[in-house]
Amino acid sequence: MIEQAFISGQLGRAIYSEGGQQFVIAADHVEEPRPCSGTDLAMFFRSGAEYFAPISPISRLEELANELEHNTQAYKALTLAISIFDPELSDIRGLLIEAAEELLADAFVSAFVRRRLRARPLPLGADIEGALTATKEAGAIATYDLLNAVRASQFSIGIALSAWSEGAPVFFSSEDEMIEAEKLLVESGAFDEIITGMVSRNIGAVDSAVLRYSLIPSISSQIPRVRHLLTAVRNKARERLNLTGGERKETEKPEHKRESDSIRDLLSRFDDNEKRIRKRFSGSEAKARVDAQIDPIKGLIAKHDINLATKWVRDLVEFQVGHGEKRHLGMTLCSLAACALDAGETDFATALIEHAEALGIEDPVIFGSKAWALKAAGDLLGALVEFDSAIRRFPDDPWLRNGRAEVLKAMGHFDEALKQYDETAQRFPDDAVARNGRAEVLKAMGRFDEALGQYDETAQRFPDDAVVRNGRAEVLKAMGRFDEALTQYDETVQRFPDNAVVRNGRAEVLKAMGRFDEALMQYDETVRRFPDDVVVRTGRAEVLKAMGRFDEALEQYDETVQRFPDNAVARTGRAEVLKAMGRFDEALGQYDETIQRFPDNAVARAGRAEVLKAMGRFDEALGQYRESRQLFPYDRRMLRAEASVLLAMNRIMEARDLLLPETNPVSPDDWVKFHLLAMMYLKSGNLDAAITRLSNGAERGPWQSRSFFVGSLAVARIRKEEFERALPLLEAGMGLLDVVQKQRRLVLIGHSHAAIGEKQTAVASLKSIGDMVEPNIGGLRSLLVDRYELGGHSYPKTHAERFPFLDVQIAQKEFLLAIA
Amino acid sequence: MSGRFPPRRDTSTRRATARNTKRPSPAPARTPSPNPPQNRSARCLPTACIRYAALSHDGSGLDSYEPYAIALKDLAVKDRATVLEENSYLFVERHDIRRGGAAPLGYRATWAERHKLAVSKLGARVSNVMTQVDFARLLLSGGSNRVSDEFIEVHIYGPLDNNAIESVRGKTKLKNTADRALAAKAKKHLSGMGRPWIEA
Repeated sequence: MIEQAFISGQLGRAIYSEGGQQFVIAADHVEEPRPCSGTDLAMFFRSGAEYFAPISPISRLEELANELEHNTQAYKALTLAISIFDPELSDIRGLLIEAAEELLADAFVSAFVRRRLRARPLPLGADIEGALTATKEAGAIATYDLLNAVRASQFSIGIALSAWSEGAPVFFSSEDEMIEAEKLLVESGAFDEIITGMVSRNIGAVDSAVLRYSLIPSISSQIPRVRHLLTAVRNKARERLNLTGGERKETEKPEHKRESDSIRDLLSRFDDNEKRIRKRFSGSEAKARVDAQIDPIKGLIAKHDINLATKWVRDLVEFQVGHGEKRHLGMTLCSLAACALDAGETDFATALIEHAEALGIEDPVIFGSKAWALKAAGDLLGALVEFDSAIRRFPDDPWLRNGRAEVLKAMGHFDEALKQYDETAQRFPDDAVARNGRAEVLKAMGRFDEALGQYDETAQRFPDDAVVRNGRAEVLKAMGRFDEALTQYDETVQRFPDNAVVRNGRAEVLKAMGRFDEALMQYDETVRRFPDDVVVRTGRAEVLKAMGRFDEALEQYDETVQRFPDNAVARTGRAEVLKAMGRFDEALGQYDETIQRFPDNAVARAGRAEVLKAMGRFDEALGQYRESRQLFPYDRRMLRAEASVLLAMNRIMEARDLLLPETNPVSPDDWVKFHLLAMMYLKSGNLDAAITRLSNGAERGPWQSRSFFVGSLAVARIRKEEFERALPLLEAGMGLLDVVQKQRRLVLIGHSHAAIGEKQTAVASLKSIGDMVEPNIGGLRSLLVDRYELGGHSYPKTHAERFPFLDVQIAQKEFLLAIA
Repeated sequence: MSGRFPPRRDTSTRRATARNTKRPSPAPARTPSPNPPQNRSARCLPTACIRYAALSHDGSGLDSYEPYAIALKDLAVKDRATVLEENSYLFVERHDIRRGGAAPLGYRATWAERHKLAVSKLGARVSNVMTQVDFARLLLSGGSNRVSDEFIEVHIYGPLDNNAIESVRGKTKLKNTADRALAAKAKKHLSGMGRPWIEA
């Protein structure tokens, strides 16, 4: 059994000890180990830095040989990849590309080369364009992808390196230490991921990489304060790249600033020990007066009148400086900040928290509020750092720990979030929030059974917690166990009759079950009971839309917008109805107006891009998504949606960059990505790969996505001319679909029938679509009528000449429907 | 450049060929430390700055040091090279030389007097019926392993770069695409520098 082993891919050698004796194997003679000579050992000690100990212990010679082989191949691939850029080697480029392509097919080798090539800039004389052209012409996809990624990252590599040399030295006591840390970060892939984030100007991705690699034990144990180190580099890089995402926007108006400065002045004069001047009120009188002032300020914040709110806050502070204690004033400011965060006024919230901090008192609420404000502003990494530091100061505060877990969840680090919730639930067994949070994370990870188990346990422990019961019902719904979800909601409605959320949830389940009439009745009842609940009204409009009663849905939205002018959901919902009606220009206008009014609303921006995509204005849609990705760096939907536009534009390589690596889908977001990957294969003509993935999604995906997988699978089958196999897919579960989804299915059913010669059934299907259809569906219907001669009149013989052209058009339209 | 490709050893009576950068260590073999030496400065010790090669009459090398050989220019080594009668590892064992101990006299020579060492070692085996090929074999011959290799070792002080290369001998017709591409790349670089590639 091998006791210890060291490998050098660069030298193509491995040295190992077995039974107290040392042996060496060479990469090209792995089957012939020989006892180590003095030469081998001297070489080992002399070139120690090139040898490494494998991460997982190796006990058998075959394992060592395999590891050595991989590492040797990786070094060869690295040499080849660099050589492709060499202008002096242009006449043997073909051979170099062929060899590189062979080696890069291996995922380990590919990652190895990519990580190293994206850690240093290419030399000035590198023939980047020539290399890319040759690779593209050779059809070497893996090599092209790699070289393209290297080309795209040159600017960012320069920035990252200068950020590193500026930010890193203070973290190390010697240059050697710094070099070793840099090596580890390059080889582990941390730099590569950071560079990827910088290339796409996505500070969220950079933050995500910083956090993820800081949490890897093999890195954090070797590089002390690695997160601080990487954050310092990230901050320098952000400054240079002027990345906007995840940082506070400077939107404070001068008037605010003046008032804000004045508040700061007041606070600087606050001294608890100083005898109050003009003290006219007792403690309780002062509190009553403060409480009376707080509510109107909250009202102003809710109305987004920040100018006036700031003035009133100044008055309030002045009063409290004269009559209260620092701690009370701190709590007042944090309470107002929480209200500002709820209203989306993150800048104002931040300013209030800064004032609270200026009081210099040690309180978890102040520290925690700052972290929450950063989270609300999108600076998740900053929020995490704040939560960490607050937890160190106040280790017994579950609120801070739950906040940390929330941030980790928002960053997509579900495992870490779960760990945090577990720890908090263990430490504070009476904290229902940690348990609910845990269940929420499990749900987000697609681990529905465990989420349900957690809710069951929490419900037993906290029987009077409506959130737990509601959460349980939501998990059941996510699992497609609608009957049980409905029973849970029924029971919860009985128990908590005044809870609008629960009634709303019940209506949602009915809608998911295709029981639209009952859902509508539930919404009607809830609207009567809670006339001031905007969510219920928008939910009602959504059901009307799903039923195809677009005019009524529009009316409901109009009324809701009038009643709740500050609600963005009603406005985006209205735009969605206009889109479903095919009134794209109006939908676009509605989105433009909503974005102007709510510039931080991700749904409005994504919706606008979707309309542009539906209109075939792909360039604009792409621009909109790219802009949105910068604004909402942690919103993976933007990334997915951008990939779908690229696919629609036939820019497969770029879409591939956004979608790879392919991972086993677990969470809902994973399934969205998985669907798009399948569509990428469909677009590139690899129908079997597409069908395998789509079948998987149709059988195993979350129920919300299954209908998309089924529809896309049918499109793939049609493309493969397996019309008989497409039909049963399309006809299954029609009752659960909303009207737009039904129309999409019907047009595909019509196509399948027409293709197998059942013209009458095809015509009936196409007619049953109705008149109120999206232009894309209408356009496809017309093409099918033309292609399969369903017009009810005779077609000239030459008409058949158009079939190939029509087939291409139909395939493109059906693809667009599948990724809509 | 990959671990398999680096040229290792070549010999010539007129030329020295780089064998590798290893240092003959008189120290007994020891178990590799779990943390291989990382300190870069350790590699700059004077003893570490000796490059090893072997004398060759026809530019061929020893297969036990990989199937490629670099022939070095006389000009690049003549003022900083000495020769030893045999593989230094075997030499220290044969003469029981301890760490810090002096080597016995009569087994080493400067580069300029390498012919004297060759005569001293091989003179008795030279006959008037020998051909050029026989001379070359006499000077350098590969056994079944490194222990049975026969050669005169060259010690070159200091680094070598591509300007020191006179020619390279090796195979370019290889089955493996990656190895073929890497050999083609080396050949191309050589031809760019005006150095020949000798197909083995």
